[in-house]
Amino acid sequence: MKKRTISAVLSILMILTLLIGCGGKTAAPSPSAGQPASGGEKIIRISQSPGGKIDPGIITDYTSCVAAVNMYDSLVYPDLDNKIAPSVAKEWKVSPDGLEWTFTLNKGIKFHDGSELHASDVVFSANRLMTIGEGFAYLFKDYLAKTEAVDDYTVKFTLSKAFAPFLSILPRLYILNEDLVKSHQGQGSYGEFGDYGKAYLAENDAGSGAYTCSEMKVQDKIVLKKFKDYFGTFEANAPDSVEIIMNTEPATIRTMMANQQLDISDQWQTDEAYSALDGINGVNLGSYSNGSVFYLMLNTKKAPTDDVHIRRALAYLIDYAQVTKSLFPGYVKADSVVPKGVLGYTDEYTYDFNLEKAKEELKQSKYANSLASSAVEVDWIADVPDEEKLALLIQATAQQIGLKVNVVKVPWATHVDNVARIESTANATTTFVSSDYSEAGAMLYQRFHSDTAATWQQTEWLKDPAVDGKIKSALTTTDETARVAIYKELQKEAYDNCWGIPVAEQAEKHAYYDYIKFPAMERAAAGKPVAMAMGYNFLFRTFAVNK
Amino acid sequence: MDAGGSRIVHTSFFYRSQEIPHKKSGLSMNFKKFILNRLLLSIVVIFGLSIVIFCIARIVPGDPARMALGATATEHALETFRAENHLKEPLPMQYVYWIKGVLTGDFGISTMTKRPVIQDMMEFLPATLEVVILAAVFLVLGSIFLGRLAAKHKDSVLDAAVRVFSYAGVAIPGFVLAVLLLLLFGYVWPIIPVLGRLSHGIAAPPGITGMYTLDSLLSGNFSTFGDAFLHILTPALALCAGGMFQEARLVRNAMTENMGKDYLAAMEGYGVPKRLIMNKYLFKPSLIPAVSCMGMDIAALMSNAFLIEVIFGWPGISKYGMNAMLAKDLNAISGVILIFGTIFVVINIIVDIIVAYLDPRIRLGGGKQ
Repeated sequence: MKKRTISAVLSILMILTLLIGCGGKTAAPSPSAGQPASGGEKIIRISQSPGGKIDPGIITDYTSCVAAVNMYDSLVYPDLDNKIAPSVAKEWKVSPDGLEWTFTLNKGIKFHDGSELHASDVVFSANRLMTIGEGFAYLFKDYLAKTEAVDDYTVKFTLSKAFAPFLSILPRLYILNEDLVKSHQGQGSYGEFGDYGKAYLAENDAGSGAYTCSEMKVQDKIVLKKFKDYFGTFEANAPDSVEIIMNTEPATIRTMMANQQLDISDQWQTDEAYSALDGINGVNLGSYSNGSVFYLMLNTKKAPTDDVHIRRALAYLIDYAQVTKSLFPGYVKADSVVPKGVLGYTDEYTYDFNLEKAKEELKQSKYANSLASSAVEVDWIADVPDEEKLALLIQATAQQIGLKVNVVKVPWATHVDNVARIESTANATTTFVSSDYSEAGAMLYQRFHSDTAATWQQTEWLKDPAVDGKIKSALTTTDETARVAIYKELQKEAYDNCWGIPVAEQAEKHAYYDYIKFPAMERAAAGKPVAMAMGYNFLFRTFAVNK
Repeated sequence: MDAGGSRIVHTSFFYRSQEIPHKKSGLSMNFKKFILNRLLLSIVVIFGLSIVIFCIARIVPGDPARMALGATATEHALETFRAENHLKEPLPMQYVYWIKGVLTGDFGISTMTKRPVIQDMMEFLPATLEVVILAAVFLVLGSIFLGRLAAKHKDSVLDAAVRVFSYAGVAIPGFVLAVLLLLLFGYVWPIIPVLGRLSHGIAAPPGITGMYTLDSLLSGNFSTFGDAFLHILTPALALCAGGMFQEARLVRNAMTENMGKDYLAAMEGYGVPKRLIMNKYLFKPSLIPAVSCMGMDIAALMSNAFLIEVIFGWPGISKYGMNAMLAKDLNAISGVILIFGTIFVVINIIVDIIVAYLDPRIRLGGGKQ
């Protein structure tokens, strides 16, 4: 009896300690509990997803782009209005046939080792990117035929065919220090270039950007230090150093922010985690549309979604208001297959939630009399748990109009394998797609050109030569007005044929301390657009640490 | 009297137990053979493990080249990758290429970090070993101490507390405990640091072993040692707590069961000091069941450390291995699992030797009980 009483008391004590630890309002500890930088150094610590790399020739992920845009410069870069602004290049001209692009470089731009940036470095960087064939090489591979240095400060690109958005993709050609990379070549399969400096650049930078890489701890953190000889300008109180911490574990992020060991959170936290972060004294929560569109992709070659009426019915039965209000707070409804604000965007062709229209479409479908045996399989990606919410919403609403929907959870690696074949590609898949550059042509190409069929970017399996031709025609039309007109035609076609359903545009959320000047958030709060290209909302030389 | 080929001789006043085996003191020939057999079998086990993990890593769905280089990599880049990694060769040939490299310390390049896998492992393995070793020390010492305390004060508050905590240890997953400790010490009661390996502004000690606590001691930097030790406390506690309380319960149960044995009553009757009975004749045989479990738990600490490392921001090999699996980084997966398997085998051998030391029947019987 005594033993039982003692055990019961101890058990209750343990449960009480658990409950005490789990609840309660969050109070920020005193500022001294944080870890201020030594000697008055201004520092920004930001969390990002693991896997960040610093070799600009192989990167495509968000974390790596945030690091790269600060360590390296390009000839041009996208400003927060998504307009292309000069950077290393001060001016440029294009030949009338659109095949030759000539850039004049600014003089006196220094690499981090003190040597000057010349046109030959641009040539080396372009050739390196194209030869390795990874990272952002895919943007250039169909168009860039030759890169040459006309003189020390003039570089000329010759294209194999006209590509009107060429300027928009140039921000992804990061300029490396040719001499530094060549002096650190290791053994590899790139002929005279060995490994093209891949081993060296995995842990060192060879750039001219506003920040140098002072520490690269793989899968842990990237530490950047201000480059005092940077050719551009720094905001007053811009950070002297930046730590990109590769960890998105919610409990860890919350603890770090509460202890002022983290200044800006990543964008991968759950809504519950953001609420908790918002509750910390001094922490704000903001969001902006980053150009990433959340699609319900539709397989147009597999029954029953091979019928346009079934596809349209699905488009009409999604409750978009509920998606943006309850399922994904902060997201905005997508009104086109391309993100808002890019050149060529139009909101004229959009589906709304309308069950009556959904029913009418079903009646016109060739499967109208066999709906019970014509189930639509909706796959959602297991690595993004929130996607299940949309799948279940569709299933519940479809049931109301007699359409059967099966919801299937699929790990990303399996999904990538499934979409390589028509028969194993699901009828519908929930996926986020980001635009490669700030023109409608980017998303139209990524989503509907035959080149991307059998990849995760397109499960529609369109493989339509007419569509391919139209997309290519738009991309090679140098006259902007004519190009925009073709973009709009394609958006109408996508709408009429319901090539996939754009559901919402992602809101990229960050929790950040109020002493941080965060330009993109300030613009978003004022209703202005922000940069769509990954990483360019984090040019830390434009940030400020006001404490 | 004879007991299995030995004689027990004792004096009337001062108890002196002297077991006289047939051979001189030291390991018996049979036992040496037993250890040698175990070592040889372990090599076979590791070899078999390498084949299994190699095959599994390569037959799961997904194109390794696509997974490594991304969906947008050019065909030329994919072909270069496939040629460099012999992906077009038959599986047995791929294994031969790989094992040849492994035997010379070359595990290939990690597609995740773009560095040699051996370099990644040399960087991350010491961090995990540091936590695991401290967790193992806590587990062994803590379970022995708590188990003995509970046995000595049987049916008291202490005994009940150990029982309740052992149930909690089974019920609460390690990562839940890790989050609770993180919130407790990082948030509610920030008396010790909880994130990372060192505080901001403190330089890492010279890289002798890669373990910051050991390296700072070896280099005489005691303030760094103190900081590193405080950082490692909570991850180690989170890792070992469950196993520690479970093993404490095992020790307690074994000791209380053996307490009623006749031989102990006889020793007490002969006037053997109670402390000697407790520490040697009761404790040693009671430890045997717990030691086997400790061995398994300690071996499992390496793989269980993954979530602990993520939560505490600890740059260890378990987190690296899990990220490698998610990224389908074949070289890293194979390397990490081979290392884990080898450590598991080594720990099992050590446990067998310890058990043999504790149980003379095994030592004298050549490993047979």
